Amino acid sequence: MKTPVLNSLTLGLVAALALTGAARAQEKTVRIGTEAAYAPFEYKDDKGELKGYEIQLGNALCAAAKMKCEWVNADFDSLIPALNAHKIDAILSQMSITDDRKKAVDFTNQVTIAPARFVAKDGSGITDDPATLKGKTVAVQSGTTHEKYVTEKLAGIATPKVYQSQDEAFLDVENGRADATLADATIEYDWLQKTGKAKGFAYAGKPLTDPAIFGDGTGIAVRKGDTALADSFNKALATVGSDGQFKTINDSYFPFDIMGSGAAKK
Amino acid sequence: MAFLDGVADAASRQFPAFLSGLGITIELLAVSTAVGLALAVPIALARLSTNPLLSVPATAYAYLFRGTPLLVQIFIIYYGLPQFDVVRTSAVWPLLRDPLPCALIAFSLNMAAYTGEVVRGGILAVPAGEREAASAVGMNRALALRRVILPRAFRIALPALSNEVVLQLKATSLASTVTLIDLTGVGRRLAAKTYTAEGLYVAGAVYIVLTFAIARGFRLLEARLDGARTR
Repeated sequence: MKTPVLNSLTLGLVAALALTGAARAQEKTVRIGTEAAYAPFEYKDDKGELKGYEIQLGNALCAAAKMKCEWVNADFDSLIPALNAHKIDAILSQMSITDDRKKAVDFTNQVTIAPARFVAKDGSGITDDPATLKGKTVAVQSGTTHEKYVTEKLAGIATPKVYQSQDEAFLDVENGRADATLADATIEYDWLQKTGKAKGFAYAGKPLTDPAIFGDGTGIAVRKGDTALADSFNKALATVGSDGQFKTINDSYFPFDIMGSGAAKK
Repeated sequence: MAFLDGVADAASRQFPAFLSGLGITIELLAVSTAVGLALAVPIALARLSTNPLLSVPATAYAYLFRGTPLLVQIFIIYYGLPQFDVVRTSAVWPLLRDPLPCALIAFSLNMAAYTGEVVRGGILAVPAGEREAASAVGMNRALALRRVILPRAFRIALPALSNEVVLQLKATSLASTVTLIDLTGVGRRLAAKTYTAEGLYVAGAVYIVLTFAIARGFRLLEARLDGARTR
């Protein structure tokens, strides 16, 4: 039996909860998940601080949308589970917009393009032609479109070797444990400039185009149905695209343009 | 229940993958435990030796491997060593090129360091009266060690050893960080593909069954050894 005292207590509790809930909604922090082992997009510098193309871009987007944002670092293959478990609210980590992922999450408009390309020892004979990959070992990162391509499209031709981070995949290509790696041409460009080129590595073949696997560029992932957050990001994207902020960030990392269609370019 | 259905579905659809993962996990556990235990006795004896040429290196070894995380050891052996050209051109490279030998080396050396301590404790716990009795019947040191001290030390250390084996079972999950597809590796790959944790639940359940089997096996062994003594 409920006594009046208990009733008023319950009422008070509900009211208090409602109040804190409302207060929280106003100063809500958007937690953006990223895998900080993906230089130059997101990585930790010597001091352990988050740096990179998408960190700068994400901060610019949050400023444009007047949102308080917070970065959360996690393994790439744990980002979508973390999003759906409400540990984070968005993912900005060079995540390609694919039909597979769209079953689990929603995406914003295209943030960047993301051509996939093989990297191998110069003169290895490896190209984007599957015939050149017969019997080869290809290093890929777990949970990526690249892993999917090698396991599905090159099944019975090449052997995938799956790593937790692309850094480790590069390391093992260097160590000679894998014949090639398949990753985003952008991050490969950065690696080739910093280490790969000096050790005799180069792009192998043309960029791969298989929209069924590689999707349509990268986007920011949000929970299914979180259209409010997706809209905020989309508007912010258009803003940083048109006021030139995006281009400034892009040009400080790459001599080419990878800005996606979501940013209305000048 | 949708959740349980999902887990059951993951287990049945991926059965061959889990089976091969289980095989690798058991191989890692069995080999590293066997090598670890084989090395543990000489390490324990060396640590107990009054000769510093034996005790100092053995103690240093135990501190080095117990003082650094297993993950760091695996990474150094797998990713670190090949950074030296000497390693990549040496005769051991065909072995170190594969992730399995690298993981086995790390796990075995680690196991040896920990169980070496357990065996050392067992030897120290053998009652003084039994050592004296052994020498009273005319056994020399080597014979007393083989017939009395080590068997008794083994029985005393057995519960602690079973604990080490259970811990080692879970430590083998780190093999998935160097591209080995063990039980955890299968679970993670599946989780990465489905964006859910179902594969990890299946892996977890298999670990529980394995742990139970190990504990039960050691219990039986203890009972057998005790039976032999009181007979």
